[in-house]
Amino acid sequence: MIGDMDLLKVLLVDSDSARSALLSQALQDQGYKVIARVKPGANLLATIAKHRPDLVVIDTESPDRDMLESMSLLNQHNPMPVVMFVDEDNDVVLREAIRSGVSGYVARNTDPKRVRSIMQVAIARFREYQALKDELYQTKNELEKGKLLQKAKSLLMKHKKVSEDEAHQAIQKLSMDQNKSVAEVAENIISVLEIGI
Amino acid sequence: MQQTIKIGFSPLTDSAPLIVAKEQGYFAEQGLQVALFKEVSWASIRDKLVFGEFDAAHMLAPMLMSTSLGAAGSIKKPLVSGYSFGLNGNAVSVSNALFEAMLTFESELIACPDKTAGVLNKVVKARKSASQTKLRFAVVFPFSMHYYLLNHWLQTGGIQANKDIEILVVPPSRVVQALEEGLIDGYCVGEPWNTHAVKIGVGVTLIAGYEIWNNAPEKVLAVTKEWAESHVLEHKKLIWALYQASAWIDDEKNRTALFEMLSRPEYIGAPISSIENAYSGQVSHPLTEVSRSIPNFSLPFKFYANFPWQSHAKWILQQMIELGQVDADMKLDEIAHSVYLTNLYREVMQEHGVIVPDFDTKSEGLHSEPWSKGPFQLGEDRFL
Repeated sequence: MIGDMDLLKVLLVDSDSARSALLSQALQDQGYKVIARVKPGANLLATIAKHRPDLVVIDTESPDRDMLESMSLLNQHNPMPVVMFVDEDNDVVLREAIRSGVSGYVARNTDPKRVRSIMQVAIARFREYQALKDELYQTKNELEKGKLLQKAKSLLMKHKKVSEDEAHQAIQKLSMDQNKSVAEVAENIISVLEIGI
Repeated sequence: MQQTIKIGFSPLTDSAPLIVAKEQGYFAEQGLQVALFKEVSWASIRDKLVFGEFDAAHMLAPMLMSTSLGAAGSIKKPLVSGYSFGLNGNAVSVSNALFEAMLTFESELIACPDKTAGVLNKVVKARKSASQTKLRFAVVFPFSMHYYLLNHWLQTGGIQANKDIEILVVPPSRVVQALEEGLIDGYCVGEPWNTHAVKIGVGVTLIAGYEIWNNAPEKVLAVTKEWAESHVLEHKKLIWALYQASAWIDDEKNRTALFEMLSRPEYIGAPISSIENAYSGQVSHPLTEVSRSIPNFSLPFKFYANFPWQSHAKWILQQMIELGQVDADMKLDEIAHSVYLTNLYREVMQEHGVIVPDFDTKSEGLHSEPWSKGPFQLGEDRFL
């Protein structure tokens, strides 16, 4: 799982260009490809969309942090792991931060050799979490579909005076005839019959 | 030796009690030595509190819950609060361009905030049929009253957040710039950042948070459960100092001094003309001479604004469930009880002879006028 990471593309967000240059060098030495170095406050979302990094490394003090942290939460914007660097080299803080979240933390004066392992942990964490989230999303989606179907069926039963089985068959037939998913057909039925009330 | 208590805050008008308690000596009177740290990002405030760099923080009430629950992969650490920084103070503003587009559907828009979401939906639909990109609205954090109030407002107009319009996060002090640069079309944020956008000609305020939910909770004084348990005395003193500061803020004769204090660069760093509206209850508008008046635009003290109501905590938790941010099968009462230390607040008040409600929960959404329960005068709590 680590083997394919040699070409990972990193986007660096830092207001201090000297530090950013140093970190950029350290990352490149560790086999990462730093595709862009940007200052916070620039149009971060557009920059990310343009460069499509695999990983974002950001200064903890940056206001853009909130924006990045929320990206996977609010919409389905291509979520990505975010690694932050903090001022103090406090091992307890680092370990706890990495253990507790999606993102990893790097202390500013971390030994460059450790940078790589911290990034790997961050990415592994992120993937784990993403897999969990996808699963949850799918389950939720299926539940939603089930609810739609149930609602469409009861509307049909009420308006067309048919049995539940007949309603079910009618929906399946429509789905096949119109080459649409059952959920889509259910949605159409609901919108037509509910407006008719 | 007296240890310094470090407190992080975000530059917003509702951080005022911290600033006043320090500047007016309420902390010192309690024998507390407090250092305030201004932060731009909410995530940063949270992390510094969780990792002990701060002892206490000015925090979004929903962040108290999301951190305690470790929601959505965020850092998990039990946090508690025994003091609320007040009620209301948010508003929804849009860019001048979007406001123009809305005016084509309803010319009297500014006088009828209750229609704004419906009119916005017309713009959303027109853009959709013209194959234009979705509108983008910012909130200050995924776990924030701003997101929940914005979502409630959008729903009243038949708009679905994240489906019909895009929602993204921009920190409070950066929204005006983002609006000006066209990165976003609108936002829900706390004062002074709505008034400020209007005053510098960048945006128009559509509706105040107060008009979405009368007297809604907003920020709280957050500490870790650990800290609260090992620093009971300091915690109580903090709460009492902040309570006195809130009372001072509420006294109109202190307003000039308050505005001067808040506008300083080390605190909010915005002009006095942008700060005063939150307190005078004025919603500015660029096209009319007269601003709209909402007396309770921001409530620092009145109606037990600093009381940590269990019903507020529960409403927030319900929003998290509704928006799919947390699992639906959690015990609301239990969690609300573990994060909002209503008893602690009451205890502190009683120790100083202040009488506060002897009930922890009040009804929400039933009153469009102030009302009384026993001797206690409570604020209206109606939803749009």
